[in-house]
Amino acid sequence: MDQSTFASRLTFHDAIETMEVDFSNFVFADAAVVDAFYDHIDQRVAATARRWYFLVLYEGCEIAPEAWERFAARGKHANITYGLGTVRVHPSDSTRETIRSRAERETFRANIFDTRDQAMVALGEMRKRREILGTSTTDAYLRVQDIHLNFGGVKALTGVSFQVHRGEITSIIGPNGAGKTSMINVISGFYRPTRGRIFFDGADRTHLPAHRVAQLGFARTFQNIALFKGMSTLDNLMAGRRFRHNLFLDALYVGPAKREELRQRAEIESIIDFLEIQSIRKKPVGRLPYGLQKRVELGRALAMQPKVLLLDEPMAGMNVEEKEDMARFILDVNDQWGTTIVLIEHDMGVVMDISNHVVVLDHGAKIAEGTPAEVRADPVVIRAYLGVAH
Amino acid sequence: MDLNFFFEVLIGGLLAGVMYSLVAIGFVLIYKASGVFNFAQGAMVFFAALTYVSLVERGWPFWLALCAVLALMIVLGFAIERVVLRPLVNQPQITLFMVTIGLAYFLEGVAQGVWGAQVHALEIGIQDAPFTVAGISLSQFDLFASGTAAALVLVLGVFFQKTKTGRALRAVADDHQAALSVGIQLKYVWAVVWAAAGFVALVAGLLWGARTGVQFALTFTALKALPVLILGGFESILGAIVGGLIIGATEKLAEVYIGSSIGLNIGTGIENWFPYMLALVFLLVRPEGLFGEKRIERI
Repeated sequence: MDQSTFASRLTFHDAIETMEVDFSNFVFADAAVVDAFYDHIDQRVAATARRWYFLVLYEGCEIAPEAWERFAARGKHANITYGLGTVRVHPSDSTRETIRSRAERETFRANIFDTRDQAMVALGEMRKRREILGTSTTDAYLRVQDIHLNFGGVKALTGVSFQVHRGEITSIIGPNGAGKTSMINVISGFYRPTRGRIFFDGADRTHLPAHRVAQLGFARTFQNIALFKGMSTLDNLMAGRRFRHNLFLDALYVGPAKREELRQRAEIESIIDFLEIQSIRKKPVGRLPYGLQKRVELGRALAMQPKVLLLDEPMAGMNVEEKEDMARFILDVNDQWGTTIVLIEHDMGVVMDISNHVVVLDHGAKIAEGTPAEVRADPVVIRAYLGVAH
Repeated sequence: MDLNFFFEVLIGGLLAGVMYSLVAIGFVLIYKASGVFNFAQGAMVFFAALTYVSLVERGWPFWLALCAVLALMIVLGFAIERVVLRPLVNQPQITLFMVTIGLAYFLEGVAQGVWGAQVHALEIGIQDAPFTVAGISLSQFDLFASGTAAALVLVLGVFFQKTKTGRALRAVADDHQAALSVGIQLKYVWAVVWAAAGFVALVAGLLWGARTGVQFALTFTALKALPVLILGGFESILGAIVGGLIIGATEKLAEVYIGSSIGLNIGTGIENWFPYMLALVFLLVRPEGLFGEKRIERI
């Protein structure tokens, strides 16, 4: 096979970080042809010494059944070694099915499009997503800056600053009276800080009242559980749900109001399944045992589809089994929805396993910060928890 | 004892009790959501009825006048929240109670200033001819009033149980903090509650007005709602209904049977003080009312 044939089929678009591979009307008759083509591709890409998005044109391309294993292996290798992502244009029906089934088996995205234009749009989206992710890992999602909080002469918080990164679990720990709950109350807008600022997603939201903070995407739970005790589990979760509604349509309970209500119900049911509280859907929550109430409260917070979840001692007063359940739910929430979580805990042991980042408060001031391992080894933290010999 | 007569008195009392319930429901709505005892509920009843009857007397058709007054009561609800309550957020309950007393005088004054103070007859097209079922004669008007009250309760029930706004109202009534944490705006909810109380006041005003004539005395219906609330509990719509029925039935029975059997000179006018005495007994035995929330305070 002529090298120049391969060369003319590769185009590098530097501006959009994309390498276009033209397989159109090419026949991969056997493994040797696959190797020849991919040797050339690997060589050319390696020479650029960087990663690329791959735009692969499959129109009229034929891959013989005996060449498939080789084709898939070489393609996968190229993607892993040099790729940022791959979009595929217009493969024949049989090729399309094979790619799809392999994608499912090996969990990569098939990204198959009918036209080159559609594929280009998708590429643009992929690049945009990477840019956002790239910035968010360096910039804080939530930034608390120099927060002071006084109640008359009592200083609850003195100059606390820290950052929370998108998608991470950040824990605030500290002995009793350290100011942990005050901090959560400031972040959730229940307290107005005496001084200092709070930035969320780059914007200053220091002065928003609590209900606006909630509408912005902050959901919280309370140390002493604040549920709507006279309402059922289902109604508690529905009360957390935010959706468009209209007072007058509501008053008549007709048309759109009723339809929307039913649609939202379906989504709430998935949260109920997730938290394994199906059996208490219709029970008034005031009569539930403590551990279940905590779970319903978490459910109500999740129903808000929060961007940031603030949990005030979610495991306080629970037995070991309930604590493990709660820790699992918190981790699952973080995994499944990528929800950023800020967690307060009195008990140091519990949070170390599940946190990415730990902030330690004592007497209203931040005394340490870092990964769980760093914080655990910090002598200042140990002294705050154990006290010093006098 | 004449059993038919007993049932006549009992049913007549129950139907009259429904009218008390109507006023009491207005109180419950506001008390549940904001913890304010709205002394102006009676004035709102008077205000709505007087405005309605005055519009009709000026030649407005029935439905148009009804819609206009309804809209007015809703606007009034939102205005009260904005002008009267919002500046007083976080003030002690007694302050809020006092402000509703002021509001009562204001509404009474405005209504009479604009429409005049004379008594108006209100005709809503229901005849008050008694009719007889199984030997018991009933008031057609009272039956109609009960039907209206039942429909009103049903509408409020669906609104509270099934809709987003209704759920927000219940949420606020249950726990202010939790309501804030899910993004419910307390001000908005309070405005809606006052508007709903205005709507209830309109219905109560029309029925009471049709029965007794639209006059200043309508504001005193608020006083009759007090024993109803003490019996039923300040936080429960169901309590307001049951309380109203009990008060209505017992006061009529007391009037007829106690008054006549004791043979003392207290015979007439028992129904005027009996409900309050019943409420007093209730306060001693069960201060939270039949359906109210028992308060357990930590010491």
